[in-house]
Amino acid sequence: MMNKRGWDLSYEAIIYLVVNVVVFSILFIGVGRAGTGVSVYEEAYAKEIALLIDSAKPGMTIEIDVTEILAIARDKNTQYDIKLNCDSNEVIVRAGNTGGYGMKYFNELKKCDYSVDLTRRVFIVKT
Amino acid sequence: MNKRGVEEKYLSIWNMFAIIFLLAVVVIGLYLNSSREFDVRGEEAKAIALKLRDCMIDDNGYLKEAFYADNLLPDVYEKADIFEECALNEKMFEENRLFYAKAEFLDADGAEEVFPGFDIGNGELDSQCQIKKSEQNLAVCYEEKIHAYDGFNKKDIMVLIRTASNNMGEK
Repeated sequence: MMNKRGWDLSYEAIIYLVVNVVVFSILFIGVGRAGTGVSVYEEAYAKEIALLIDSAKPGMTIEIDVTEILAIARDKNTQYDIKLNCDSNEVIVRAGNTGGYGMKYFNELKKCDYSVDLTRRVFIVKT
Repeated sequence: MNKRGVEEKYLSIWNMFAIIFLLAVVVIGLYLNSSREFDVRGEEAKAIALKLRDCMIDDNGYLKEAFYADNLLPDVYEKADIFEECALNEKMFEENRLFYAKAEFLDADGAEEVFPGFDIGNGELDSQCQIKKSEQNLAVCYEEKIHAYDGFNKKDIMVLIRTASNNMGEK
């Protein structure tokens, strides 16, 4: 009788394959979500606003497009929070249920004049 | 007789350990990387330098009078004047110690000091700038040399500005 060599897939191998697929799927989904998480946007916007404030000269008006942060807050059904704490010289951005992200700036602002224009979806700071 | 070789054990403890180890490495890597994703300290250090430059030197390249007149460059510096003159928040530099800035006024060749400079903020950040960068927790620095004209002494000078930032932000 000829030896019949076939592809013999044992149950163990199937389970092992399934475990690998599940684990790597979780991995890829997790990595993908880590790159698009709320905290990433909060940090990015806080640092962007702080940098712009630091680079501004007196009398300038800074406008930053905050469409994404507002959209995240809307999707998560939370209240957005984009503000300046002029006592501690800090920009605070929050879009989720966590505490948000704070970034300090070194520019001395003559007045604490900021607002969010929801129509144009911009954060405005007047230096 | 059928000879059975060593069976591959797909669900061996070593395979499971390898998968768990791989997961742990990725999770730790993501966590460590997330805090470094937007490191703007270099840009901040540069922004401080540019702000000081614009504060000290006018559009024609002249050192502004306030910086060599007695009220701002006396024998003993009044640091508060620097903060006020250049619209820098004193608390961020002196209390929070997140930033550092230093200015030296040298001759045109950059060899000798022509009159005393100043420094503000956390001096330790300046020391960190001298250390070879292998640790991300150290400050990020920026240095700029600007040629200017000292109208008081009627000669060309070089203004050396060195700045540092270790402002990481917080969640």
